[in-house]
Amino acid sequence: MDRIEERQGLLSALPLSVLMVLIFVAPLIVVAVFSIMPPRVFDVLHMPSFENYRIFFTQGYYRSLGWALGMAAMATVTLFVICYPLAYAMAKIFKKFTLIITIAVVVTLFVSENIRLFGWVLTLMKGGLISGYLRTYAGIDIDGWLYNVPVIVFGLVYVYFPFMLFPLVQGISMVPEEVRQAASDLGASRTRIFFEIDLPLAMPGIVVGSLLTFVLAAGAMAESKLLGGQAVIVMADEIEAAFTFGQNWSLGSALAMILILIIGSLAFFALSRVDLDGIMGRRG
Amino acid sequence: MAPPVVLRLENVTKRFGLFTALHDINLDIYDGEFLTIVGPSGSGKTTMIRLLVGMDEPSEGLIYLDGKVINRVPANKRPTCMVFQSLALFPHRTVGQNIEFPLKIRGVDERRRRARANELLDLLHLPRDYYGKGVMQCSGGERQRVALARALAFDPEILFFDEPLSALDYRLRKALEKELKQLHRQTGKTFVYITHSLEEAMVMSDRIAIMRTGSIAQVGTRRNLCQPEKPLRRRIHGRGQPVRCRGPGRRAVSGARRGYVGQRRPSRYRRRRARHLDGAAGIRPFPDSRGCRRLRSQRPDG
Repeated sequence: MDRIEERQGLLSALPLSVLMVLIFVAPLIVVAVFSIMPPRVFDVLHMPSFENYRIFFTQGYYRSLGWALGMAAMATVTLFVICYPLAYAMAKIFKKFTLIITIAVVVTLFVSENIRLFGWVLTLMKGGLISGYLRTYAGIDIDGWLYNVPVIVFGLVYVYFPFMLFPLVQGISMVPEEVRQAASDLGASRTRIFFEIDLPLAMPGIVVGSLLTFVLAAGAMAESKLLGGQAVIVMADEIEAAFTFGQNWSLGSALAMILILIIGSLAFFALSRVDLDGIMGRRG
Repeated sequence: MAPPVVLRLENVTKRFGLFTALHDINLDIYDGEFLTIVGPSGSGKTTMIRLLVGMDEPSEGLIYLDGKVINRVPANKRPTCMVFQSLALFPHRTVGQNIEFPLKIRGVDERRRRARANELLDLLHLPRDYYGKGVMQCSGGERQRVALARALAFDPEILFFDEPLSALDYRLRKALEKELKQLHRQTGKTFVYITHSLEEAMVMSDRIAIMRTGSIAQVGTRRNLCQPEKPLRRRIHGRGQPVRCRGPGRRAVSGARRGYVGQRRPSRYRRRRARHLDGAAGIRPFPDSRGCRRLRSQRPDG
């Protein structure tokens, strides 16, 4: 009886499993195989070579990786600092107003990311909205704020704001109010409660929000292209260039594999360091 | 000579918007006593305890602790501590870390913290190897003891309890009531206990304050309360003639449990009328096989 059920279960899961393999695993395998092909080949019937990985180190591609990871980290930290107070208020203080903020943030996602970024370009460019007003009404002439690293980080913060905010709200709302009150009753100051109670108990939300924003920001390129004007070249830019202008699929694949491996390892490391079950009290 | 007053409430009123949760409360709590505040749901017990521990401020009136007004002193600056109804243990910490928390806040070094935690584990009959056990892995009764140990580690002047036994089964509740009373004797601290169960109050307390719709209807020892004169006391004790208590404590408890002690069973009309009045006052009677009534909280499965 059990065997029949087991077989039926496997059979039922088969179509979806095949679909998952085709959609997620197969492209990754193709990229992995291409990454060990010699440069500038368009099929996989060649002797494997690690030339592309050597190029990554010798031709300075690691700098692009550094910029991508560095700016993603900066955006994640900035987002955490900005979002935590707002998420706390949404989870614990605001009542009906929380819904209004949620709708306001979600509505921005209805507009394409590129269009929103172009909006910022028009606002921040020389002779744009801000510098135009400043010149007309204050007599201050400025060059605009575009084409530098801070503005790229600003773009990442702006675009990935909801991806940090909502997991944080969820995480903070999981902290029972009575536990905070008990800590206060036992003599803990607000700062102590924040570090001893709020942060550890909201950790699932913090980890999910931080991972989402970091992973998405590390692979983003619209911000560096539109707001940064390629003041710095990020890894995603390099991958795109290798696949398109460079017509070097194997180099693009190698760069993509390096990015995937690094981000995957960081995510795995972060998740393994945080004992989510322990925090939730599911395990002692 | 009566022991000194440690906590005094003087004309304390608490309003939430237009709703008055507490109205003109006057109460003295004596040093080292076990005072129980008893009353039905919505009578303002929890609001009062929140004012006493500093989680809320009274709208009017004064609260004195050792002769000083403490209305605006926040919870973390008061020498009082509360055991919550939900216990409010820190789920991400072990039993030992929970107990040590107030000591850690005070900057006590690790060795002394550990020693004190072990002392408290012994006092509350918890095995010492529970020190490293996850608090959420403990049973209901064990968690209860951990919450008590944590509160005692704080070494408060007054220990408040907000219905901490209400979620436990009858047998465990009985055992913990006994332990709590014993703990009170051992520590000599002032205990203020909130409950909706008169039986719990009778078993444990030195004095009992009965609350009704935001005010204190009556305060007295167990013996005083055995002589009901006003309708409220009669409704809580059971209807009929006043119960005569010869000795303190024991007789009173059994009297309250049975409903009609040392008296004739009232007529059918009077019993029906009593049920009607109880229903109107929000007290739900529970007829047992002999037709006697008990409060719901006194039911074994209650």
